[in-house]
Amino acid sequence: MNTELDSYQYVRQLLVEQFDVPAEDIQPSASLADDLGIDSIDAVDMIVHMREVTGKRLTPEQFRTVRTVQDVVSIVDHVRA
Amino acid sequence: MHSRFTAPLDGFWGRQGRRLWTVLSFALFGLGAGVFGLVVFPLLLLLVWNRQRRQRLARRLISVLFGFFIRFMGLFVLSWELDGLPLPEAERGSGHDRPDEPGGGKVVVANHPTLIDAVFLLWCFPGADCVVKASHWRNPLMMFSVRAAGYIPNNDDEVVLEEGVRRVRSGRTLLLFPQGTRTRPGEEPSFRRGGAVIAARAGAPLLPVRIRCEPPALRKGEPWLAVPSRRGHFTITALPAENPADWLPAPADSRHSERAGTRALTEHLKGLLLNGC
Repeated sequence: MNTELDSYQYVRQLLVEQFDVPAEDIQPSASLADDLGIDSIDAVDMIVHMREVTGKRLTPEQFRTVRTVQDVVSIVDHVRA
Repeated sequence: MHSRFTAPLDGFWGRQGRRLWTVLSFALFGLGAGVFGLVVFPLLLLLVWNRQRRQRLARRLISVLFGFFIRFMGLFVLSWELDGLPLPEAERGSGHDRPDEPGGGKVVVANHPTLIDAVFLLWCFPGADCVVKASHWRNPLMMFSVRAAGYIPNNDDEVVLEEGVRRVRSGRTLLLFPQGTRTRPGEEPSFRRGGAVIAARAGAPLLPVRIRCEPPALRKGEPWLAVPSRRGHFTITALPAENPADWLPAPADSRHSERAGTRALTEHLKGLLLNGC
């Protein structure tokens, strides 16, 4: 099973369903803040949501360097691994 | 409430005098930070074990010290008026000062034009909770006071939100600068919506407080000795409180509603607080 793809689908779904991002705007290279309108409060809600799903604690440090959709996917992969 | 002395002290000698008094004021602040930060607050941490009591004492002390500092500066380098705000001295020992009174909690959001805005607000709202730069927890002069007062460090947004909601629900007043840092002259700051989110989640009102300083002084990116042409006059105005629930589109209990509502409310507050800046 391709976990990379799964993580991407999960992040995509999260952005569309929870944060009202239009699905067609989502690309791996899209900037969360500039292209998708995700602000720092959304980032917190996203961390909380991902923790509920993965059951693992994500640190704010892990999230501090996140800029793009692909960065979030990498973190999800990392947490799952 | 107004400061008592308001002569502009302009002209060459007036300006030099104000420069000297500014140096003295900040020297006094440093001395106070040394004595209280390294002796009194550590003693509070050592001797008062009841956290509630310790926080109340520490916050009351901070409010008294900051009030003293502002009056000291107010002798020659600044003047002020508080508009719609209760007298700090009357508030002490009642209201904001008595935490854990459910129902009385609120979030105070202010713009941040000068170096001493937090000093003014912590004087005006004795006993308030405050979100403070996390580096203060490692600064020897500040670490004991911020710990004794139980302020909230700003390094983890999740903790700020959770703690903020918890404290406002328990009846406390939470002070926030949505800009995070002082306005840079000529730049439009961005406002974060954390204050609106905390108020919405705690079911508490949001009180906008507008800070003006004319002529501008103690701004970001300016040496603090660059005193303006005349005495800086602060006007601190409490604007009508907003109820975040009024801003949330139906159905109000969704993330989508909270996002849209708090964003709109934050833009509204930004307009109110920065208007004319």
